Amino acid sequence: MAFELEAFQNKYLPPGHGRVDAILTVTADDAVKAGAGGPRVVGFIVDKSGSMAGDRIEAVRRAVRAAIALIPDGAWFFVVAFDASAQVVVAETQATAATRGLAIDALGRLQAGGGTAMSTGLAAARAIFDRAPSAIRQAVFLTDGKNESESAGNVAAELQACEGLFQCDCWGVGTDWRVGEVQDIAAGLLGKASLAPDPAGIEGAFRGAIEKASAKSLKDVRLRLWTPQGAAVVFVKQANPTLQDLTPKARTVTPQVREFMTGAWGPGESRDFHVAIDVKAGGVDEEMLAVRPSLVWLESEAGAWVEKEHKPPAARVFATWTADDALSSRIDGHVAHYTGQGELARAIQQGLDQREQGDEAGATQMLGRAVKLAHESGNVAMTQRLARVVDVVDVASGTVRLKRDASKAATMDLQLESRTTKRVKKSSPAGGGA
Amino acid sequence: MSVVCPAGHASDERDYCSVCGAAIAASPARLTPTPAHAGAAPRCGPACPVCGEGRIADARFCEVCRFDFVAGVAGPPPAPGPAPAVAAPTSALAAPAAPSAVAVAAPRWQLVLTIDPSLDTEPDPAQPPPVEPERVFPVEVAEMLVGRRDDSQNIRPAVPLHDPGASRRHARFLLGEGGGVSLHDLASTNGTKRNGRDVVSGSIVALAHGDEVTLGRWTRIRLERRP
Repeated sequence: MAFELEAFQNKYLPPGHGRVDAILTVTADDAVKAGAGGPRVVGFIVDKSGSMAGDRIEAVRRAVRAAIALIPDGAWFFVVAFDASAQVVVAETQATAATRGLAIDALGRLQAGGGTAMSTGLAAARAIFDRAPSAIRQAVFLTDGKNESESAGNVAAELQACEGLFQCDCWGVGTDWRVGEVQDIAAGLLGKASLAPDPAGIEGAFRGAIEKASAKSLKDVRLRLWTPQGAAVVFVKQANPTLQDLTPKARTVTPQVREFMTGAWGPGESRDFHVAIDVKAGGVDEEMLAVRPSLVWLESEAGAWVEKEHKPPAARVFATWTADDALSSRIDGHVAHYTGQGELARAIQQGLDQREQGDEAGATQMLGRAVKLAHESGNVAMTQRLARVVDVVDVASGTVRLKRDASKAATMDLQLESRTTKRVKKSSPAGGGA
Repeated sequence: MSVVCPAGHASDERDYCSVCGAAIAASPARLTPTPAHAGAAPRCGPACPVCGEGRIADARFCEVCRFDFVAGVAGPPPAPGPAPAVAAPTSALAAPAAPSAVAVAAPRWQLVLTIDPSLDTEPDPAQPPPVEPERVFPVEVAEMLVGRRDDSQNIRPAVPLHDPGASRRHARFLLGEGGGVSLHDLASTNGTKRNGRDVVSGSIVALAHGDEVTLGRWTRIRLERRP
């Protein structure tokens, strides 16, 4: 079996109540060979606008060169560069020593200049990915500026066309780009947006992305949820490693079965999902199956993709009505943890927004709350990121002062990473199975 | 190869019905509501000799005045005013000491309970508000006690609060025979507010859709008409 699936919840509900919350933990086991599977295509989508001239375009050349060297023989790659329009620098090519050399020559001729229209780069990549429907398709996207040469609607429409075709991680270089624009592209394409504060950081980022992409071996992994007749899906969110609302991406399989695309997975990869369902409330002591989760994916067998499904009976989610408040008022440790991480992300977003609008009192209070939540949930990485934007006076009570000299990079980094969650501790005392 | 569930659906799954989710192999006892726990506890016992409140099932103490039914002695005076002063009587009010719980077929009201840290005027780092999702309680019975649960005193409110600023028996929501809902402050230590204004201690006030009751340090309860 390629996947393990576990459910964590408190199945007890008070009478008249129909809301069921559960955390589903999905882990691809190590038996799946890294990089096994069918053909794969890796695309580089890089900004070549005027602002990239000098150090930055040189760094991109070096980074793409290093990344191409890591692409395993036989995999396909391509490079697209965009300013106000897109140009294919290296068309899709199967990696060999000879083709890598030709690609590096082509990159050497890349000149920076022009405006920035991100949708054109995505559209050029989509046209190439379209020709390889059976491959595992991944891209990396890099920009350094604002999307000034087109309307935001162009990107939104292009993202809709790209959805489900390929996955894409994004990087912004420097601090002159808009976090929201790049985050939207990453979120629409099941990827993550990150900051590369200086040109030298690009190479490391690209290397990491290629290593991650090369390990993926299971394609089109979907979380499939059966719910009883009359039930409604309130939301389905990825809760770890990053918060991502998958609710709008639901695809209806049958009236009672929906599935949520999570992209390609590699061995050992593990993610948590928070599922909230409204079922018809039952009577005291009645029990009902609220969610029957399963995983569906494509696995390579003898050169062809075969669809598989794993539906473990142990991962079922129940609703049991009880008049005993001691049972129904308890909140499962996993659900509470990720509810708290969601609150932490909102506190950071709101605090940074308030600071931007000059509401210092509000920002101080919100970011203080974030410091407290990060501390309480043991999210050390987030505590450190927050400490670059605020001076922490007392971590336990969330007393902070806004840093006068907080760098723009630290603020952007905090905003980008605000949706990165801490994994729930396995030994969480309140955490328990169904 | 399909099996039939207790509700009569043909199910593709053998454990729980693939249509309605009902347990297929469950013993019948599991599916039958236990009368002792169905809905609110029935008030089958005699009325309290001190305040006239009906006794809940086998509860040792009177829910309102803490009269000890077993020992036959009155509880400590809970509040300065022993009898609730009824302010602004309206037709929506029911006699609170109805001898039996009035079950309403289709409940039309619900209470939405949220933890609102902004209500906390003196935040105490040692005692932060709990992180919990919104809780919804349908108003289905004649009265619902609101307060902190205390097993040692056998106080198990229908609306249990996780709020150190609330009393164990803080207030009650009353569902009148006319279908209206009112709030009865049980002379609580720290008081109760309706839409931000203090409710006279021990009084009963009629509530309307959207009214918000705040009490304790961070508890907010909104009355809503059910959709």
